[in-house]
Amino acid sequence: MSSVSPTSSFAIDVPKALLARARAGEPAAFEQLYRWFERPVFTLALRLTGQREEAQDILQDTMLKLFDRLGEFRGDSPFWGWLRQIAVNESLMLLRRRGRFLSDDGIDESELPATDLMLPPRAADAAILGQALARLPGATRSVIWLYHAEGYTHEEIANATGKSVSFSKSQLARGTRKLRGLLHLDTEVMAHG
Amino acid sequence: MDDHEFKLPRIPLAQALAALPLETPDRSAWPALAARLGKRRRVPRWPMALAAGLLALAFLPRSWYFDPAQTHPSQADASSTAIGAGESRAQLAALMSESARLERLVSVASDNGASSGSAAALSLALEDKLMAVDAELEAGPDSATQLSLWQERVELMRNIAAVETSRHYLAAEGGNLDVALVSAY
Repeated sequence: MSSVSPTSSFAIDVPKALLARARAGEPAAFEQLYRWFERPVFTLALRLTGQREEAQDILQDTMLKLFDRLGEFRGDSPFWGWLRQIAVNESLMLLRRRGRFLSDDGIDESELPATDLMLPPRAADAAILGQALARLPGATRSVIWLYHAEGYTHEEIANATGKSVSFSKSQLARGTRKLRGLLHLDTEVMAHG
Repeated sequence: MDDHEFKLPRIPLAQALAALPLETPDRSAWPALAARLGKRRRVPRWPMALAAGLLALAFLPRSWYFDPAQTHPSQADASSTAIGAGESRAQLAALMSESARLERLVSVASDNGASSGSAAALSLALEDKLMAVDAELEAGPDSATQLSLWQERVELMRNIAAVETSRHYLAAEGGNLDVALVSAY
């Protein structure tokens, strides 16, 4: 994974000595890695799937894969990026298995420019934004999260999802529009709450 | 949206998403993971393809299994040889890498349930030695001792791999390691 988002919650520098201990099979080192990345993995899984129980399963599966494949990590990129890719793959795999990452061949290129969204402070409130995200379809929410929060490029999203670059761009454009609408509605609800 | 909100600075979606707080799982996954990791270490499991490749190891002399220092004299001698710090670090890295490779070999395989009394005892004896080495490594020894311990760890892992692989291969062929060990001596 070439993209590096400095704002990603995964961006934790892991000492080489800790990785060496984990590679050697030391349980305490594995536990340390788990503690550091438990919440980033769970949060990513929750953002992509929208379901806490599914995110819990993905957390466990991701960590198991980490333990199994740690020896394959070459160290030529940040460890957290490598782990994040495992978590992304696990999340997308679950969405596909459950039919929530449906193919979308009807791409309307006229929708593509609408990818930037500037939020008023009230709409950027964590609760309101979280609620709006949760109401998006799985594929759309995944693309929005990977692009905006994790800093993936469209090419990287296409690789991860097994779709085309156009699919990623289309989902981003449509998702941004839907999000704008949802945030407006939620703002109205919160204003009366 | 009221008028004064238009005057406040707006926030890019990417920044707002990245600023969302981290979520915490309802329960820790660590206890289940630790149990599975522990089980994997206690019960090495081997795919048959790997087992076939290492069949010949079952017929090595008994001393090979029980005295790792005699297995590779060149490595055993290394700790007593005066070496520079750089070379020592390189050796340590190579040993860690080899140890990881062998650990990985153990963790990816599946258990076929084949076992016998003496073979299981042999495995357990080797794993007990491994645990003792790990305990010494965790105590943070000096670099020379560390190198020696990692050499010992790699040898033990090789021995465990040889025993387990041979045991599973022979079980698949209808035999067992007990007979093979007796036949070899």
